[in-house]
Amino acid sequence: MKPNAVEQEFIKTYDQFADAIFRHCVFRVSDREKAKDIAQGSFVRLWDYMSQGKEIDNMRALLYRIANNLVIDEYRKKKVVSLDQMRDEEGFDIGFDSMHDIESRDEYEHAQALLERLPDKYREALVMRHIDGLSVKEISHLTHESENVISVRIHRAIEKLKALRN
Amino acid sequence: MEHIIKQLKKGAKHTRLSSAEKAEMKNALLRHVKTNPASGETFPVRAIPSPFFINNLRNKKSISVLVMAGLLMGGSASFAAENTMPGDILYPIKTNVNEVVRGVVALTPKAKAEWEVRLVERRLNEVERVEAKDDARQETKEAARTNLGKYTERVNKRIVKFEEDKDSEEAIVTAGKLADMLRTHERVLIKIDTQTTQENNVANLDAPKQTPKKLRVNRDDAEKKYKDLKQKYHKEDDEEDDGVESVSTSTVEASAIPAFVLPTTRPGDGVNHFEKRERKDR
Repeated sequence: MKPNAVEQEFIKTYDQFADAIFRHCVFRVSDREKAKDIAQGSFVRLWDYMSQGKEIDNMRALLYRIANNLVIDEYRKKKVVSLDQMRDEEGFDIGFDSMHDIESRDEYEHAQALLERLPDKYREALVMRHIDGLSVKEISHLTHESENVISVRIHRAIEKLKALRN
Repeated sequence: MEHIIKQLKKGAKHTRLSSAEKAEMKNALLRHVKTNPASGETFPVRAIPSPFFINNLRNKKSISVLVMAGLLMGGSASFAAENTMPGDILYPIKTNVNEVVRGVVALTPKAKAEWEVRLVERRLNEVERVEAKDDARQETKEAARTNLGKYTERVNKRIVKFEEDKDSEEAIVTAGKLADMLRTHERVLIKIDTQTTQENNVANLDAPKQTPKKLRVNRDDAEKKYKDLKQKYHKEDDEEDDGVESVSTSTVEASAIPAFVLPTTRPGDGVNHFEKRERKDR
């Protein structure tokens, strides 16, 4: 592929997946600014990969894998700070659209708070499945886990949320 | 529980980058793309083209300009060097470049001999110009005389080579030309010397100067060589022909040696062709 064509392909990928990757990151790190950084970092790494002329079979899967790895890196250096604490002390914005009505927003924020309390491996599987809309097979491929393990994690994530809500 | 998932999905629909954020991120990424281009158009290669890569328009232009400048400067220097004398800055270009290049064109021994005799004439001209100059330094005069001796010696070596190669005809012709040349210029030099002495009101007009004296030695040697060669090879011819009449010998001699190299032996009305040429020069 010619260099100019690679550039065009990259821009097209960005326009197509920017929101989806950002959304994934928001639900994984619960911080809009960090999510933006991770999303941008994901596209930077994608370009570094593409610019080397390497073939990419599944652009979406690669992008999610990069974003997932960056999120894991973020978890490793992240201080343990609760969502409520951040929201109260720093005016933290979890990335909700201002167009939404207040009731829905409260519900959503409540769900987000519960989600944040999930262990990361459950949260990862649940976000990928229900927020990003990836199939179990795709998640399995991205996380290098078997489909059974992913299915179990999704199921347990829902069970945990149920328990947390009660 | 389904309610929570629905809430998350509903919330996810409204979770997106604003237009400004998206544009800002895109700009940042495009900057990254520009500074880290895809392989095949790597930045350093485009930014710093090799100075040795001729198939580069800028290098082609530079090389053309350099070649043209070189030719112009070289040509000008070469042309300017032609009228220089020993001691001048460009004189080495005259002897080491101009004359060497012109000498390369002479391919045959005969052509080389002719060119070497011509070089002796150039040195003689230099000697004359230096001698005619009132303010010429003694070192310059000495250098001109040394050069003359050196180039005369080259011709003598050429004559010896002709003899070794059994080319007696060319040996005689070259020796004759050299003797002719030296004789002519000796007269010119004596004249210059006399004029200079008179202008300087020097009492002893007959006292021979160093340059004419040295030239006379060279001329004597050349004439002696010429006569020796003539005697030697004509004698050999006589022995070979053994019985051939003397009339035929004189015919061979006349055809083998150009008329202009036999000035003193030519009968005439008392004025040889050198004197005629001198008059013509005047």
